[in-house]
Amino acid sequence: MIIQKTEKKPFVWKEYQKEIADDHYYFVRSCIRQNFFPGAEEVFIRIIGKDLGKDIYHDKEHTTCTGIGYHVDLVKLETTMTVVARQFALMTAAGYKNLLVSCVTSFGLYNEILAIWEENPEIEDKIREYLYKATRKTFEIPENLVHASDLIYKYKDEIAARASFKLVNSETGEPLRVIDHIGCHYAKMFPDKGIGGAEYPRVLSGLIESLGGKIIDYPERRMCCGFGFRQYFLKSSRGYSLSCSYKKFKALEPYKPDFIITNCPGCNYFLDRWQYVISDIKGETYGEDGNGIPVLTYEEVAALSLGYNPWMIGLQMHQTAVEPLLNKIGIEFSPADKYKGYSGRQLDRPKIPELLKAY
Amino acid sequence: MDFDCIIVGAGPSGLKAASVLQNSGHKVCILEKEESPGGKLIVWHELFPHNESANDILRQMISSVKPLIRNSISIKKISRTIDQFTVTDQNDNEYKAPALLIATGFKPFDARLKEEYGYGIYDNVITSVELETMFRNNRLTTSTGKLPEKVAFIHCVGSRDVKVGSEFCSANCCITGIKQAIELKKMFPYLNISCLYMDLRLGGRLFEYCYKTAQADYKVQFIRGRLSETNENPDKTIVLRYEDTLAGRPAKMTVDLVILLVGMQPDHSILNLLPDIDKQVGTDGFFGTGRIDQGYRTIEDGLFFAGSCTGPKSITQSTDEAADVAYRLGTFLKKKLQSETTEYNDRIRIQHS
Repeated sequence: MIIQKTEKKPFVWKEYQKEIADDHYYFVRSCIRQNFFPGAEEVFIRIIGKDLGKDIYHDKEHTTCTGIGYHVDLVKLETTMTVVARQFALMTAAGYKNLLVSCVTSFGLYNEILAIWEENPEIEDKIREYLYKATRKTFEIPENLVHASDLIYKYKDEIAARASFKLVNSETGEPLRVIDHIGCHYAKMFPDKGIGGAEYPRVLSGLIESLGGKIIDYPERRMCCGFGFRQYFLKSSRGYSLSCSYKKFKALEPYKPDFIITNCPGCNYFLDRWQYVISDIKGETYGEDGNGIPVLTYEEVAALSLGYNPWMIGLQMHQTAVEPLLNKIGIEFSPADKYKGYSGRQLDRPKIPELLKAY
Repeated sequence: MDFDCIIVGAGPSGLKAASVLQNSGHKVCILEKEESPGGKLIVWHELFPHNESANDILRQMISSVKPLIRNSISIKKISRTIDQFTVTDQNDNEYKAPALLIATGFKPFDARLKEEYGYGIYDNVITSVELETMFRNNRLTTSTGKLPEKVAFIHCVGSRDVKVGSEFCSANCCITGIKQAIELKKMFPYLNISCLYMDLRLGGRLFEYCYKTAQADYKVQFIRGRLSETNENPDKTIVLRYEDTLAGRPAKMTVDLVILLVGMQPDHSILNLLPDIDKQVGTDGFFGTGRIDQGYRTIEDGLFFAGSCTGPKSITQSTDEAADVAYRLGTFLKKKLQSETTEYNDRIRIQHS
């Protein structure tokens, strides 16, 4: 057993230090991220491609990984594996070796499939055969499989060096108090595939600390956000999903966090949207003065720091309003532009909830 | 400096072996790396199952062999010729003897490796070793200076755990936990104590009696449960998340103090200095083979092991083994002396013929 010293956590397992390729990534998008908050993925590509000048290839040919279908037992494992094999084939054809995954569900699934193939090479052979019969494609196994948040973590110090805003309260100068929430499928399935393992993942806390914020450790830190695939997708068990999120909010409430950062599309969506539902059902809100606690993704946080316009990176797509946070950091924004499209045309405004404050 | 036997480690087994060897007329020296002898007894307060004072026991152990002990010795090198070991210390002093007895004991499991238990992360998660120090100092509070009201003992930390690479049972932690729970309850009669165990392995004499007493007289609650993780509340109390394996369901508990009953790990600090390293270590990392017939085999190389460096042991077991090993070591020395005498006589005979 080898343990190594790091700055913040004095002892971590050596196998939890993850290797992340320096450049040249084949990017596979996330189905739900593009629907829930499309700006996040776009700004990620911009940060990595334009701001940091890395080679990131996004392919219009690739499809869903079928992960959600697989986890709710709609898609057979063999089908899922063949679809994933096709993504690998597209990556190979494009001349890339590093697969950059946008979604935590996909990331877990790719790791799971690679582990299945490693342990059962005959299954890999069978899938290669299926893929060849269906598409005449062949593939190489990715040399480096990273999640998008891994990459932001890798370049966190460069991002911090260019940052126009730090995660500090502009009035008091105090660091912002941040809750990190890691998607279950990021490291709980394969702890050695995540930065810092499953117990104390560093992937988001490292970014927050680099940008000047303070991470809060609280009792339900490692609990599921409530999405849980079956919990949500089966309508009969949706109550589990909500009660899971409720438990988390009750646990983090006393710590008065300024915002929540997540690296999984499902977590981001549910921690964001359920706040509205809980306010409706229970009459409770968890932020200050009737506000919710804003829920942001890692690239949204990075983009805000880098000085991107909050409405251009799609922060209006979050149901829990982010304005109090923007004011706290001291980011200037135009409230009138919130619901304007890229062309400047005024879009429809959402219905304002009764309890949870919206702007 | 020439001796009949060099003993490395002045813990219970080293001290016992020294006393036996000294009584049979051998010239012995004990090398101890710490400033004072006693091994783990130095930090312990009371000993199971009779709650004897560790200090008193240690004093008795040391009394007859005190002049033989050399403290603060850090061994730099161990070399051997056909019939002699030479141990070199940090000041380049050389100790020579035909026999070497390793009694280096164990080291407590580093609980930081079970990172989900929060040791080294949360202040109110401590180990059984630290609790003993608190007992000794007669000062027991939580990190916030409060007297604890609810305490949980976690059994099998670093024992029977494949994840941290130690698959064996440390044999002494169950009874240590029970002893400590009773001691705690004597200090704070209002205390609410829960022990989360996976099995209770109470094989020693009177251990079962202690277990019954803990339940009947001291109302210690035993829950068959495995801890999955700990978390800290804003007031520094600890939330335990565990599975009640009898009820088959997850559960939560908030306590003021968590005590991890850390297992016994092989201490390899001397290993690299020993000759034929591979032969000396068993699959579990402890020295020797652990075979019953080990004691009956002829020892030819003069290297002996005793105490908890050959496997998890209680003090009684360690000293029993040490006495046995000292007896065998004495036999080895006697045989060696005989063969040397024969050789010497032969040489004289040749010269005269």
